[in-house]
Amino acid sequence: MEKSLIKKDALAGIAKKMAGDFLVWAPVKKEDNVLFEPLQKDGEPFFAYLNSKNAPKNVFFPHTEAMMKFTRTPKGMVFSAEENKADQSVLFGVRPCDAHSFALLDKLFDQEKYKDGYYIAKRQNTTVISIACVQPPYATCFCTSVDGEPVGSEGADILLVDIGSDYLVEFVTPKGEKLAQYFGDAKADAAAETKKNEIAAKAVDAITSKIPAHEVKPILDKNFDNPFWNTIHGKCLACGTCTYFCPTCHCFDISDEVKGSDGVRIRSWDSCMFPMFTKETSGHNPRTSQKERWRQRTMHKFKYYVDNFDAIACVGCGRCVMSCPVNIDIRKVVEDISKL
Amino acid sequence: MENIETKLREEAKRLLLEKKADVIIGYEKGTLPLTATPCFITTPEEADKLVWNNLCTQNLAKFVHDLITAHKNSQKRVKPEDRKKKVVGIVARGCTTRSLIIHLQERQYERDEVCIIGVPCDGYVDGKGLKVKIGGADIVEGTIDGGQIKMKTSDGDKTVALKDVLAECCLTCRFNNPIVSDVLIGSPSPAMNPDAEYNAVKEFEAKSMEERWAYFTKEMEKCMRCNACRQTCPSCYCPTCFVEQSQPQWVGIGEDKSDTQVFQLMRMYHMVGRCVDCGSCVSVCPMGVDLRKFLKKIDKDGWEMFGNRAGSSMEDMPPLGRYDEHHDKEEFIFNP
Amino acid sequence: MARRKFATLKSFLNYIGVEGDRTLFTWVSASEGDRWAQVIKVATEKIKALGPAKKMIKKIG
Repeated sequence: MEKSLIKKDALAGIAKKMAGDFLVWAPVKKEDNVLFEPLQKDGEPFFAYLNSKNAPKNVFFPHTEAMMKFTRTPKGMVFSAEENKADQSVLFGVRPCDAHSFALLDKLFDQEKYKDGYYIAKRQNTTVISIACVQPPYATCFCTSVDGEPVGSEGADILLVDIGSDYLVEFVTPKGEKLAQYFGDAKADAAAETKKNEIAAKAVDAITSKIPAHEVKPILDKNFDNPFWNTIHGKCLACGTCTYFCPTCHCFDISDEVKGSDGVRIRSWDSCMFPMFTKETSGHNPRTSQKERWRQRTMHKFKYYVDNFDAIACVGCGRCVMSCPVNIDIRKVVEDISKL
Repeated sequence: MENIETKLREEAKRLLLEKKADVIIGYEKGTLPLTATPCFITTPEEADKLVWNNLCTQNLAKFVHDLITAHKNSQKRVKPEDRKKKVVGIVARGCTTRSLIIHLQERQYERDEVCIIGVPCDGYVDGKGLKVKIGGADIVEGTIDGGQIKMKTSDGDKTVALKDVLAECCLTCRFNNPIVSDVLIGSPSPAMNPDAEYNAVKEFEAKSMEERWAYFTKEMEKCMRCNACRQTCPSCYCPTCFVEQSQPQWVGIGEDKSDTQVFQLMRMYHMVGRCVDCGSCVSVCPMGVDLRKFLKKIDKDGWEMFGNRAGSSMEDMPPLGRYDEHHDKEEFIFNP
Repeated sequence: MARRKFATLKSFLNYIGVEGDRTLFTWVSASEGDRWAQVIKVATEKIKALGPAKKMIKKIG
């Protein structure tokens, strides 16, 4: 489909117009944080942001969601599955790294062996509009090392690229094309396309933080017991900041909550950094200390995911690097592994 | 600070060489601009990594408890006569020593298992506050010099006065110099402004019930239950936190508002006589929850009701472990 | 010391905005039947006057 052009100051208006018709998730400034939240009627999207504090994965994979409900009746338990119904919605203004994370999450939640109805329903009914990073937002951005591009469209349905006075609007998927009417009639010419390609190449060069993410896979294959694993976790607080902010972390925990005769089965985010992670009913935990949990986190991202889905489970957004309270830097961890 | 850093490294080297400490917990330069991060020094050569400046944020006492507990667990299967003692050295400012005192009073380890290298403190930088101050820009490079923080950011060069971005708890700190120490480095820092320490609490107390509740719920809604506050707190060392107990399950695992409120309420309430206002929980909170507004009330009550300032001296025992029949007020007792 | 815990708990709950009258603490001896009845009577009246608790109550289902 032909690409469009929109004026830069028209962006917020488009988001608000869409919010009249669908549920629109957009970056919103809440006190000191920028978060992806449903755009309220009188709400103002905040597009002057570098990136959101939290990853937008909660749109498809909420922190807590009900899986089913149950009620005790005189005739026995009555179960009712939560319907996998999701409203038509738009996720407006994610960065390409976060859009890339959706493509990675799809590999897990929407695969041949297992289809996660809760995730798929929301994913299918949501159009992802991403805004390219013409300038790398942070010095800690390293998307180019993990198969991402600052002006990439992986995982997005529509890509907006700032080409100076306008945004070039690229409709990447048929789902994106359906929203074309919101972006007006101005069509992009060849000059705009050339400009975009120039910008894209420049943006790639502007990302200076690099990690040897692909090189570590064969090293990880052979070094499960390497003493190196004793060196990362000492100062780790075992909090969940890195995993909760990570766009690709997807471990969850299931629990039943009951009050009176009503109950609900919920799933909530879990974190491999928590001491309770993989603790078994018997009280035994195969991962006895933070060392094993850190090995799990690293292996999951750079080895197991590659084994299972042929992709690195990291998009280089740098959130874990910036938010870790004790400055455990995954870039340095990967760097160190590459030298083993 | 340079001078203190040099002396600190010398002392750390000496303690390790003389086998007075098996490991020294201190701070080293972080991988990001304007950060310092906890580090563990076990050889004299590594001691040169140590830094001491306004970027040293966390209360390191937490790691003393962790290391000694892990060591004791590892010794459980060793014959009593073969058991080894581990001495943990720690770079400690005022609030850190208060936490150590609490550990000692609560009999978590013996005084000779910890070697305290006391350092004077003139406050640390509130990293989140600094970001807000520069309009959320990304800091690419930064230095602290002569009370000024000079930065290269994604939004151009910026300079901020150090005193404008010190953590709240530091501005009104009463104990910025070590209370106990084995080695003391440098001369004491001048006092901060402790007279103002309860101003924010008093202001909050004057609000209406519903205003207070509205603020509490608003702040708790930011919480995403990452547990960073609990994990960094030196006083939070229960082997199993009530949040993780499943029989009975006191708190749900999800993001239900009431669960978050109960988690935070109970964690904070467990700090009666134990919160040293080090600000670690506030500094690690990724979402910027205003925990101090509530924790400082607990500190204030401890002082006003029982005349206790947590960890302020080895002799002043924890307030919840004793009772003063002549001075304790009885107005809370329901007497119809 | 239970009494110090109750004094601080009541104060803290009140501070975060939970009605102070929801936390009641007293001593009643097994021999004080009359007082026991009086305590329960007044406590019930106080709680009824406050109405159902709405704060920190979890809804399920």
